[in-house]
This record gives sequence, structure tokens and C-alpha cells, in this order.
Amino acid sequence: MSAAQGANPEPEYDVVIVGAGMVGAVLSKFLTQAGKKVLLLEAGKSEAQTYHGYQSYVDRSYLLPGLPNAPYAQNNESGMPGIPFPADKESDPTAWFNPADQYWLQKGPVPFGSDYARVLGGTSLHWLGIAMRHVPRDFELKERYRHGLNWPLSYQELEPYYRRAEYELGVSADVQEQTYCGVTFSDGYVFPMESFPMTYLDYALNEDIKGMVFEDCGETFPIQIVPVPQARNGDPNPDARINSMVAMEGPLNWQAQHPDREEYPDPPYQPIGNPSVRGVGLGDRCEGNSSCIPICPVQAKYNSQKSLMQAKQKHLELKTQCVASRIIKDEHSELISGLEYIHYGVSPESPHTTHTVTAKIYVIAAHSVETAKLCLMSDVANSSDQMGRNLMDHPYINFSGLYPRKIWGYRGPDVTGGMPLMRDGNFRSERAAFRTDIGNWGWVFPKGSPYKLVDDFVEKDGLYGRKLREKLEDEGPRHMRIGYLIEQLPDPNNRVTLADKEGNVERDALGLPRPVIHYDLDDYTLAGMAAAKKLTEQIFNTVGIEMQPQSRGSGTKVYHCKHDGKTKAVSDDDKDKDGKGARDNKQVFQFFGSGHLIGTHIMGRDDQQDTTVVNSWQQTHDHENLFLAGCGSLPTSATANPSLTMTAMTFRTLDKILEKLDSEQPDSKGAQS
Amino acid sequence: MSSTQSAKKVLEEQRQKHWPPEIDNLKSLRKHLQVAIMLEHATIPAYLTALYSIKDVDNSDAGLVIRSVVVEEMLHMTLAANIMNAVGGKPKINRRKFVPKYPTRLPHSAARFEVSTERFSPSAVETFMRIEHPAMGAEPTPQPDEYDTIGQFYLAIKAGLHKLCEKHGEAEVFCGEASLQIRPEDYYGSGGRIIPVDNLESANRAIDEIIDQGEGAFEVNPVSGKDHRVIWEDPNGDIGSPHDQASHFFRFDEIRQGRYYDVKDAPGRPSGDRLRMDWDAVWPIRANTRASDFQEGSEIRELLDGFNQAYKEFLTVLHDTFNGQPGLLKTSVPMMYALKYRAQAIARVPIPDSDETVGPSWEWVPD
Repeated sequence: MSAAQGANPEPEYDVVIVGAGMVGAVLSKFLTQAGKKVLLLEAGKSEAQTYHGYQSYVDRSYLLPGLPNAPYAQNNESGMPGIPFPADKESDPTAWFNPADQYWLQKGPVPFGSDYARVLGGTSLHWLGIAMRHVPRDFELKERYRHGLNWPLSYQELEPYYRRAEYELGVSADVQEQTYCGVTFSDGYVFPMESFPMTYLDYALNEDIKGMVFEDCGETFPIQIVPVPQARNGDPNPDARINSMVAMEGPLNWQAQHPDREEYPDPPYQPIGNPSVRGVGLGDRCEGNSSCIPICPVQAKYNSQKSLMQAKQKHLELKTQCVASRIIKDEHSELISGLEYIHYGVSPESPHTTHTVTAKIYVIAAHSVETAKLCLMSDVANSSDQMGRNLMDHPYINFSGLYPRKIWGYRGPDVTGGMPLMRDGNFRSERAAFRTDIGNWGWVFPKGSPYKLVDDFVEKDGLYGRKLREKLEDEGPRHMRIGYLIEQLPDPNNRVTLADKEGNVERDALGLPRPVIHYDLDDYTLAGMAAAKKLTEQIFNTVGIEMQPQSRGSGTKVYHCKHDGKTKAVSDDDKDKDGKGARDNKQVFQFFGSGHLIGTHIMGRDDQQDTTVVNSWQQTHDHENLFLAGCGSLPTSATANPSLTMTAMTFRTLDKILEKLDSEQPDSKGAQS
Repeated sequence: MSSTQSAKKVLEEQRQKHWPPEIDNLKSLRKHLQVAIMLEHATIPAYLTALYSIKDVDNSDAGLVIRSVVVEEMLHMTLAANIMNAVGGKPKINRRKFVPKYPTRLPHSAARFEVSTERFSPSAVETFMRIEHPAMGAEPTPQPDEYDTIGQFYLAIKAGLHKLCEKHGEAEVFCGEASLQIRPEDYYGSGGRIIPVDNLESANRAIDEIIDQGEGAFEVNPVSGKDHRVIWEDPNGDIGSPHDQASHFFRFDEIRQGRYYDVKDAPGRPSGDRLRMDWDAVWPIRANTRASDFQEGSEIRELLDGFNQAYKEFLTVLHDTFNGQPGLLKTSVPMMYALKYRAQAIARVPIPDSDETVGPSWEWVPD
């Protein structure tokens, strides 16, 4: 099919954005505030736009506690991956590979355990809300440690954008506490909100591990619990001043936008927290509901709707249930000349209609897998053959323990304290780094407690009445969990491809190919897991925490097979299906996904266009007016939850787009005739 | 009618307690500010009782609208307390006199109607509209006593502040401890921005915020020269801005008419979306329930006593918050949730031999 629209010289929009998640919302907000005409396309439904719709998500989340995508109803037109959750069975790796149960097709050898949401608001609806910066050496992994890749920009170059991102997401943190592993802040900077309070549990553990050090790979690290930065409404910092902290110039300067408000030349930071009757209630202060994943019932946690609501509505056109199906390349140049999308109706019977739109600039911000899928389907931006490659996550392992005293978990956001001082070190020449979380939600994640706990006591232990109550009162408050997000290196063989056959299994309801995931873990990551296990054993032994067996949950057990040098998934600790002696039982790890889909269109310098997809502005090397924005651009996973860095990168992209649009004012020539 | 007679009697009683109608000295100013705090508070049990009588409150637009008004009344109460602290007064909240007995008249108002704690109904909403009624027509005049509208009472406080500042100087009037102020870091997320008060300018802003949210801004059209009441708090605000809301009076009018106002609508004729609501999906709670209506030791009595005790503890925390411990405000949030859950549970309890249910009673119980 050809795009029969070449005759129209003036594009309909300044910018068309695919994907109404965090990136799409932040871009829409600031582009429209700068007077640009924006079309925002969203594949999923628009429920999150109204209070009732959001509330219906909250209601649904109660039905399937714990699953990230539970509230966001699957629909066949904008399918999304789910996570098999055999909560009361032994973890069965084959569940991951059954195409009938999955939106995407997994080819392994190891299951990819993360997902994303394809609805208005995107994955920001179910993210945990941790918003920490990368550390400077994360940007120089190859140079410093001879692993992975270097980024095309340094920490110092990204620092001003981190500030903007922190003010946009409303991050609660303290500069002093976050100054470690070489992280620096500009003079006088304060986060928009004060450090988010740690829980009793964090303090209890910190007390019990006082003075401990961790020795590994010839280095010594102090073990200390530090508050984790949160994109979550806490206490606004009275010293937080938008203009001086964020220093935005030009049309986005606060004062330029509010000339009538002379009394506030540099306004104090105002948390997004005013209920609005018509739109989404924009959220209160965190109340510790402990359900950040799958959804915050009071919208204390940042979600992209908070940014989108602030867009200049007259410049913004939002279309939901519109799935981008093709990026159209100009016949005579390397520019993109149009975007095709399929609109589907509310009822499954309503016909699908195909439309084409034109814009000066196209931004694909559809989440790592969908962005790569769309580019592969359209055969654009792939002269490097790197599109879809280098898919990464933070493989997550965790250990459950029974604390010697009551530490009262199951309260607050899941992670308020962590052990970040080991995020960087010379050990990265040998093994993956990790970020350590102290879980507040006890055994929810690995074991489905507290719900499952009662079942177990009744069914397995035969307890009832007073004995049952006593057991619950004794053990429930002693549940603790320590978790590790392990660094993963970019590997071109970990990739997204397209299902190429026709038919139900390979195609979605719109006839578009489903994504296929190829995923494996390497020795570098497994060695990081081994170090994490060693650290856990040290902490548990010192404090007297009883390690619990890990037999439940959606995780997959993996080990390194000495026989053929590959990572293998196992279904059961006790049966070695690959023959005797092939694995060392001590090095079997049960891992989960972290929900951090990184890579798939990694960025590199202009002279690296043969090995990377976008430049440091997330502009494709191949097409000047096509930007791919999102975690897919990050060339390494490092150890930080990626959304803050993604948002910082979004501000860079914003600046570049504005610069481009403003340099292409009417006087200059439009597209080729 | 007997209610008018009893109204006169109440007014007379109030007069005898040396209520100085004119605001011409600091002491009188503080008395008026205490009334302002009481006035803001007095509306809240009425609004909340209606709100918690709605069965599926999270899915009712009417419930959302009422909630949005309540949180702003909480803001107004806090703003009034800030002004009080700024002028060296002490907000008094932890006492019996602070808590009205429903049905009640708004303190020191011209009192042509009574406010009840009653279930959500058209007549309850009508009462709410009377509470929030703006001064229509010509530019409203300040009324320090027997005010017709709440806005006029605040205008009198504003005028009094100006007069006193002229007479004694701003520094002498705003003599309160700065550390007593509730600041944005203590309060946010509900109903707009808290304004710390330390001079005449900030006091004026705080009062304007209260009047604008309640009654809508009063504007003089620059072309026609006509003055009119606008529906919106800030007619030039963007969607999603804190002022993208109709004033309380017009928000209740939206419930009454079952339709939202659109930006261009004239007062009385909303043309926006329909409100999702159901007048009948409401617990039939008995108006102005009191604990003493039920036998001591009975299950209902225990529920009400428990509610009242929680209410008292909440007011006590609020008192301490406004009297030197602003950081305590945070701890009042779970207390408000506890009140909500108790109220909603109470609203489902049938009263024996009647077709009504019990309502939350909002009483100050003696120790």
C-alpha cells in the first residue's frame, strides 16, 4: 500500500507522538505550552483520563493483588504481556513459553519476566515510583571496566536534565543522602520534596547491621541503609524553587508563562496534589496504602496523567485506541513523511479504520518492545541492524527471611530504604553491580503473603483458633525481604523480533505481528547474583534472620551449565534435567523481572551509527525527523530504575525538537516537492 | 414558626456574651477570627454526613463534588487559623463550645436557615447552596455581624484588618509567632494552596482565596461596566490548574441540576456533561442523630460513642496543630480516614422499629 498523500506540503501537526505514557505526556505538556501543535496517539484505552476510570482500575486491582498489569484490562487490539503467576504451584518455566497465554512469544532460552501496560498512562500507572539517578561511571562502563558500552553523553551532561526530571516527577529525596558513588549535584540544589521517610523496618535493620562491611573482589564496602528517592508526594521542600533549580530558559521559563504572577518570581515547588472534579483526582500525599504496584489508590505516586493534564489543551489532540501500524518513509529523502495508524472501536464488532497523519517531527515513545516492533514493521531506522537488539532488564533476585524480632512490615511503599553504596566499584570488571532493596511488603512478592500465609498455616500445619492467631501474630510481623536488581549487559542476541507467520498465534487482533522475545542471562549477571547471595548470607547470619526456602512465585530458576556454557532454566531444584554434574547446586538462582525494559534502540555517538540506533538526543541516525524516546535508548542497564533517566533524556529530546521546529520557521523550505 | 422564634432566642443569647460586632480592636478581631474558624468547621459535618450516606461514594459524581468542597472547607479553616495565629490569637478547637449541635445556624449569621447533618437529598443540597450563597447584584458590603453571606463576613474581617493596620501599624497587628503558621510543607493535596500569613498582603490573599473558592470571584466587566459573579474560581485558568473549578455554590448547583457547568455557561444554565449520580442509592440515615437518642450500653450507642470519641481526638490533634505543632497535621490524615470508615459503617446500621439508619453524630463527648 502506498501513502497517497504526497501532494500536501504542509504537515498537519508540528509533532506526532506515539504512546501516552511518561515520555509522551511530558513531551506533550511542554511542546503544547511552547505553542506547538501536537497529536498524541495511544494504542490502549483512555480510562485513566477520568477519575471514575482510574477508580475502576483501583477496584479491579483488588481482584488480583500483586500482578502489575492486573487492573488494566487486556484487549486484543492493544495486547500487552502478562506474567504467569502460578502462585500456588512450583514455578513452571514452560508457562512462559505457551503462546496461547501470552501476548508476546518467548523464545528463551530464559524467560523474560517483565511487562508493560498499553493503556493511557502507560506503565507509569504500575511502576513502583523509584526515581534515582545513574552514577557517573554507569556512563563509562566500557572505558572503566571493559564491559558493555559507553554512553554518548556523560553524567555531567545529563545532570541539568536530571534536575528537570526530578521537578517534573516530584521526587522526594535529600541531596546529602544521595551523594555517593561519585554522584554530584549542582550547587545549592534541593529536591522538590524532602527525603521520603524510611520505615521502622529500615531503621531496625540499619541498627542491627551497624558497622558491617562487605568484602568482595578485593574491595570493602560499608553496609548502610540509605533512603531511596521516590517520585511520590511527600513533604515539599520549602527551599525548592522551580526557576533556580531547573533554570529553564526561553518559552518554558515559568515566569514567561505566567507574566501576571509577579509576586512569585521564583515560585516554590507545588506538589501535584489538587483534586480536580472533572479530570483525574491528581493525588494526595502518600498514605502508605502499600499498593504502588499495580496502582496507587490516591495518586500520590507520579503517573503520566499528572503531566498530561498540564498540557495546553487547545494545542493538543489526544486519540486513544489508535495503534500506530507503520512509519512511512519519504520516497525521495531519508525523512519520515507520515504515520499510519489503525483505530479500533469499543465493541469487537466495530470496524477497524486505517488513517495516515503527517507532522514535522515524529516521536515513537511506545515502550521499548513496541517501539522496536513498529520500526521493524516499518523497516525504518535500522541501517545498523541494531533495532530490537540489546534488550535488557534488571534480573531481580530476592531472599525472604524471618527476623528475630518484630519489624512490622506490610506498610508503606515497597521500598523506602536500600543499600546503594555498592552500585559501583572495581568489581564491575568481574561481575555485575546490583542495587539492594529492603522490601517493606514482607513476603508479598515472592510468596503471596499475607494472603497465602493463612492458607499455609491452616492447610499445611493444620492450625486453627488461638494457635492460628498466635502463629500469625508471631510470624507476620517478622517477615522481611531483601531484593537485588542485578545489572545486565547489552547483548545483541537478546532481542525483539517480529513473528512472521500469519494466523492467530503470530498476529494480534489487528493483524499486526506479535513481538518475539529472545532472552538469556550471561555469566557477568550470574556472578552478580552470586555476590548478592553472599551479601545476604552475611547479613542474615549476623542479624540472626532465618532464610526461607524459595519455592513459590513467578520467578524462574536459572543456573550456569558448565557443560555447554549456557544459562539454563530449571523447573525444580532437586531434579537436574541436563544430566549429572552439569551444574553446581549452590549457583541456582530464582530470578524475576524488574519491569525495566531497557535497550532495543540504543543510543551512540554520531560516529557510531553502524552500531547504534539513535544519538544522544534520541534522534535516529537514519532519519532526521524521527525520534525514538524511552528506556530503549539506554545503552546499558546499570543499576538504577530507569524511569528518571528516561525522563531526563525526554527533556533533552524536548530541547532538540523545539530547536528544530524553531529553526524551521515558515521562511525556510518545507519538505521536498 | 417556632424555628424563627428559637432563632431569635439564640441570637439574643449570643448577644449577651459580649459579642462585639465592630472590628475596631485586636481583641474583637480575634473573636471574629474564632467565629470564622468555627463557621468553616460547622459546615464540614453537614457535608460529610451527606457524603457518607452515598452508598457507592467512589462512583458517584455527586460524591466527588461534595468531597471537593469539603477539602476546601478544611483549607479555609486552616487559612482562618493562620490569620488568627498571625494576629497573636489562639484558635480554640478542643472544647465543647467549638462543636455545634445540629441542627444549627451558622454562628452569628443572619440565620434564616438551619444546617442539619442529614442524608444526601435535594433538600440537603439546597441547604448547602444557601450556606455557600454568594452576594448577588451590587458589590457586596462587609457585614461583621448578622451577615447575609459568608463572603460578607470575611469582607468585614478584611476591612477590620485594614483599619487596625492603619491605626496601629502592620507590625503591631501581625504580632504572632511565625513558627505557628501552617505552611505548604505541612499541608497540601487538598483544596488548594495554603498561605502562611505574616502581613496584611498575605492575609488579604488568604481571605480572597476563601471567598473565591466559596462564592466565586467578583468581577466588574471592563466593557459593560456591569459587575457579575463568575462561576469559576479563576475564569482564565487552564484545565488541571488549581482553579479549574466552579465555586462551591455553583458546584452544588451542578448536583442539583445533574449537569456540569461548561466554561461558557451562564449561571443557572449548566450545559456540560451529566453527573453520574443517584438520589436513591443513599443510606436512609436519620437526620441529626445524637448518641443520647440511644440507650447507654446498646450496640448503636457504643458505635456512636466510639465515633464521637474519635472525633474528639481528631479535634484535639487539630487544636494542637494550630497551637504550636504544625507538623502534627500529618497525623490527622489517618484520623480522618478512621472517621470516614466509622461514619460509613454507622450509616448502614438500621434503627430498630424504623426504616432509617443511624448517622454519625459529631458530638463533643465529656471526658
